[in-house]
Amino acid sequence: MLAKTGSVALIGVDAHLVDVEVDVNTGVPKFTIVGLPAKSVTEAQQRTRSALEASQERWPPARVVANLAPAGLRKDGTHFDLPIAIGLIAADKRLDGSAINEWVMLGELALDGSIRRVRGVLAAALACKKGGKRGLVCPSANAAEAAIVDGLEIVAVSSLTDCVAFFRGKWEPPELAPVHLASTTTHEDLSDVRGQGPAKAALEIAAAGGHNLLMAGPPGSGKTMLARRMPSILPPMTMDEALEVTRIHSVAGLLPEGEALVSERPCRAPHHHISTSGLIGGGSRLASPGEATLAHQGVLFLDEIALFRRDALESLRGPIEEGSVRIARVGGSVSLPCRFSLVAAMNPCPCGYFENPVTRCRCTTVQLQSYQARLSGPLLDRFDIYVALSPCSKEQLLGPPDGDSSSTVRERVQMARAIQIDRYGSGLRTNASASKSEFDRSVNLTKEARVHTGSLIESLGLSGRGAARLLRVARTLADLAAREQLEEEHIGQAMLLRQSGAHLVAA
Amino acid sequence: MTKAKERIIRPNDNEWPHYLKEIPDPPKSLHLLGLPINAGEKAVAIVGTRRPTAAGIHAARTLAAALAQAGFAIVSGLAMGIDAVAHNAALEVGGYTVAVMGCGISRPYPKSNLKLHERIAELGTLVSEYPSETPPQPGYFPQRNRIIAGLSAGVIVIEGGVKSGARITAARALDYNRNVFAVPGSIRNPMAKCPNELIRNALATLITDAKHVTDDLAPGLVWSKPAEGTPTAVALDEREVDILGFLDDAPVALDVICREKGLTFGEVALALSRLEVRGFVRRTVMGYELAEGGLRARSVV
Repeated sequence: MLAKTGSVALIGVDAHLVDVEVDVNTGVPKFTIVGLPAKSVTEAQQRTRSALEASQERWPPARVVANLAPAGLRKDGTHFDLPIAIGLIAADKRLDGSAINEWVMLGELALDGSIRRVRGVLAAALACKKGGKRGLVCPSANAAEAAIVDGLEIVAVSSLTDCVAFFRGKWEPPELAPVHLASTTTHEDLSDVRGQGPAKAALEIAAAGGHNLLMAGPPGSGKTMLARRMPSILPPMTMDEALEVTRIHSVAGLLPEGEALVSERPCRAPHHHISTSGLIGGGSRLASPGEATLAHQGVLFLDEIALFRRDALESLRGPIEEGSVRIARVGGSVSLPCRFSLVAAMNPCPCGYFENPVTRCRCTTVQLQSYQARLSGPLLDRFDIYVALSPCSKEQLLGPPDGDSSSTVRERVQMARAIQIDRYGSGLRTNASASKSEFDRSVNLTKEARVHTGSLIESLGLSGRGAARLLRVARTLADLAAREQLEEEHIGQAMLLRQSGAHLVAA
Repeated sequence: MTKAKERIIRPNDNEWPHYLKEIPDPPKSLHLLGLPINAGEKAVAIVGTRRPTAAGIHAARTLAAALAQAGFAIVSGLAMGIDAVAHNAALEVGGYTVAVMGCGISRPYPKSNLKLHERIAELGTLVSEYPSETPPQPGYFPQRNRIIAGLSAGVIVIEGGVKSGARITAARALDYNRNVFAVPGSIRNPMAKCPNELIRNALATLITDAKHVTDDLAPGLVWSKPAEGTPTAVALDEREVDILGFLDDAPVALDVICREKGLTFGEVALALSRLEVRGFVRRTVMGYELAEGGLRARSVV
């Protein structure tokens, strides 16, 4: 007899509904799974058999075929265990086939019949709702994320026995608590970083205007500490943003157990040996999200950016502009979201002590040039803000925390962002990402600022692009100060933070 | 333009610089390109770091130009930094310069000095003890320093670290009983360590002007009174003057300026940006340093 239920295939960060059909028929006892299953899916046979027997269910001595439709879509993941097992019991006429028809199921079976947590439950729940399914059966360990989606019946099960009992009408699933967006509690505060006034200012400006930030400084000057604190000064996520982030992290299997929503903006700091597909996503068969996507709505921190593989860095250029990555594979192409704040850090030279007042730099000119040549011009162009860090003084290290706390800075950032939402009409546009025409309307210089900018362009030989970048940063500074016009002071600060590229090779 | 031909001179040739006969370890032969070599009592070597500060560049340029105008041959090593500045300054005022290379003379090394190499082949003399196509090797450069010292009546050290090539050239000059001069620098400038050390150990004469050099090498030389430059109006506010006074010929980090002056980043930024626009300060990788204009402005305000 034939039984039919549902599950999902995860592609990129989306879940696609899949029909799971199981047929038990007369013939030589044999179990086959068809429909482009990956190894992790075909292995379901072994787990299902042991789990059924451990749950006192019968393994039919018959010819069994499980088909995952549409058969042309590649399927990967262990969450097909549960729908296959339930479908098998129904096809063996030990469960009412119509009871399981309208459900989508996810769960990995343990050999003792219990159900393990799986990836992508939130994405599956969203797909269920969109596809008009009745409800979702998921492992209890994933119940919290499934409960985010309302208007959907969620059945959280921890064993195959419970699940079968539920469909036989002999077991009621536990009530799930509704999910709210937790107010973020950051453990890392900007005031932990001593001194570094200019760098903190640069971080605040980057957060307020959506600018990408490049920091240079000797080892131990606090570059990593600062980058880690970027999420704490960005505005808190809205429910929609949190949902997007949670879905991505759930698909990547990074959601901490029992946590329903990722409420804090992520900060991803990949190591510099990362490959291109590790960074922007990909993989041979299914597009799995890369670090850029995992940093969606948060911060992508590239420490030691000059040591990253050149091809990996260059692959980021498009995604930085577009806020998404498109990955084309044989089976089609997938779009992964990746709207992040880019923070990069580098040592000024291979030894790290270039122009250091205390320790002498031991790099040769050739070494310096080849080190700095690792960053291409087009990539450097993506950084609106450059700041050099110097080592802290001992007074600062031993003294009390100085500077504003994260929450104070965050208030200013939120205010500046609110001004930008007013100006561009959408939270997706910032001073850094607004189109040229949108931005140009907002440039309103005072007389002094106009003179100062003019002399800057003249005396420093600033290119058109350089000047445009300078004005965008100055606009953010004015927004932070809640000024309508760009004043001389804003131009001055933007100028000190400009990333000219020319400062790199001093030879 | 036909390419000048390389020629080889040996100690018995007429063209052989007689100053080289006085040194204990002279080269066996010299490969030349360009004008006939003219060094000796009217030759001064200017040596220093490959990574000079604005103050070092300023010193090298003014000294080389003034001495070249006074008829001195400017001898240096055709490296980046101070060497290149000195060669260029001498050629700009129509003077004569000798470049002693650490590789074969038909190999312009480093590449960044390609233009300069061509100009010296035309207006000065390129010298090397190595055959024409010899590639540069680390050991050759200290060796060529002895020829720089040997060819000159005096050596001017402008900037250099403690173990720099400039220090080696100065040591050879002392061995050969030549005059050594040093331009002092700030105690905050690691590149001023070599000249400051030479002065402290009484191995070099402190100089700040080309006249100090000619007083020793050509006592009869009379310098005309320098023409009064047009007075430049320097209108700086109090904070800008304060920051200009605090800056140095070695880069100072932004954070240090904020810290030491008790100013916020915004306050420092406005002042520094105004100073930079006027060419008084220069941005470096890690901070800000005085530019040539700033050195002049500081003497006015």
